[in-house]
Amino acid sequence: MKESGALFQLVVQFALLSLLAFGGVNVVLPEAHRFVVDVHHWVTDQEFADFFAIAQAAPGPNFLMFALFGWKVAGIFGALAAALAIIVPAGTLAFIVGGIWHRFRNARWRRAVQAGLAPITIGLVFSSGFVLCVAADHNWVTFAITAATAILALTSEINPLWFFLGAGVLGVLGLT
Amino acid sequence: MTSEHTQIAAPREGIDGLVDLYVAFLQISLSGFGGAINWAHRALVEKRHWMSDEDFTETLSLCQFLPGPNIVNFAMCLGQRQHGIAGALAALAGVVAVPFFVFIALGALYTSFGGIAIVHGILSGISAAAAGFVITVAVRLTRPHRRQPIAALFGAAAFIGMGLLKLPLLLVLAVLAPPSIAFAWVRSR
Repeated sequence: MKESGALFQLVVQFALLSLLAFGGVNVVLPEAHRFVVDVHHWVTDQEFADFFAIAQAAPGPNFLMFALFGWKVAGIFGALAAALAIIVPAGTLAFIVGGIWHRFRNARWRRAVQAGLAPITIGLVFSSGFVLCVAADHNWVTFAITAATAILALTSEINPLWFFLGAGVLGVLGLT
Repeated sequence: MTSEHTQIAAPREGIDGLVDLYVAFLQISLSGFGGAINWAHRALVEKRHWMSDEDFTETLSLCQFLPGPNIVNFAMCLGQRQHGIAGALAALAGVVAVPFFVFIALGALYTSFGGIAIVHGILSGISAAAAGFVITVAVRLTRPHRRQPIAALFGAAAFIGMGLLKLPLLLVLAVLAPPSIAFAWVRSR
């Protein structure tokens, strides 16, 4: 009974975050952290950081880290409910707006809206990067990993898998 | 890289078309570390020729602006364009169905082994690399907008408001979006 009440709260909150995640789910990570860690204590701070790392390294879209929060609260059904809560509201909106957007692709107002929103979206993605750096970079090794990844990924054609592998090896050596 | 002269391939009819969408988005989703979007370009533009470069960039910026996971939005938009609601659902299933179980399996492994120091060290290293990737994505997105000082100001203001001052997202958007759109409207004349 307690579990189903918690799951209901989580679904409502995640559905709301789904519609507020302008620029992608990374934008609402700070809000998700406040909710599942600080307010409800469903997930510890450590688990939150580790789920984020798992989501980044796992083959699959990063937003499924929200399914892991649901899984902590109510097992496999919790995971499914949390995933749907993140997907359905935003997905429905994209379905509706996407069709209209494509139909008006040559209209001047549509080009202006798109061109005007682009720089703001870019600023929001930089914000996410910044917030994640603050969370992840707690010593000079982790800071160097972040910097090296950003620079090499921009300037070379190296497969991203190698960066994660390298970062994982440094972790095994106890340097992170 | 594809040129503007590349022929855009028409989607196949009926069930075949739905299977194509499911498979394409499953591939993108499973290879999605370091940002699924890099892989989406390869799969949809370079390999399958479903979209032109320009169409891809425009659809992407719409999907990045709309709330929610970018890859879900992208699947809904492209799936719908090719096969209506069935296409959107097929593409969405490609994005989520298999990875969902991968994540649950990893969550279960974490519960058993997450307390081990080495596991924590590995995850901590990966988090740091992942943060670097988000910055990479942001820098890449700026490329088509170089030499636009006013647009850069709006971008910087969004970063300061959201990243540094931690203001509510809706407030940042409500303050910055109208003048930025108005500026783009005037410039497009």
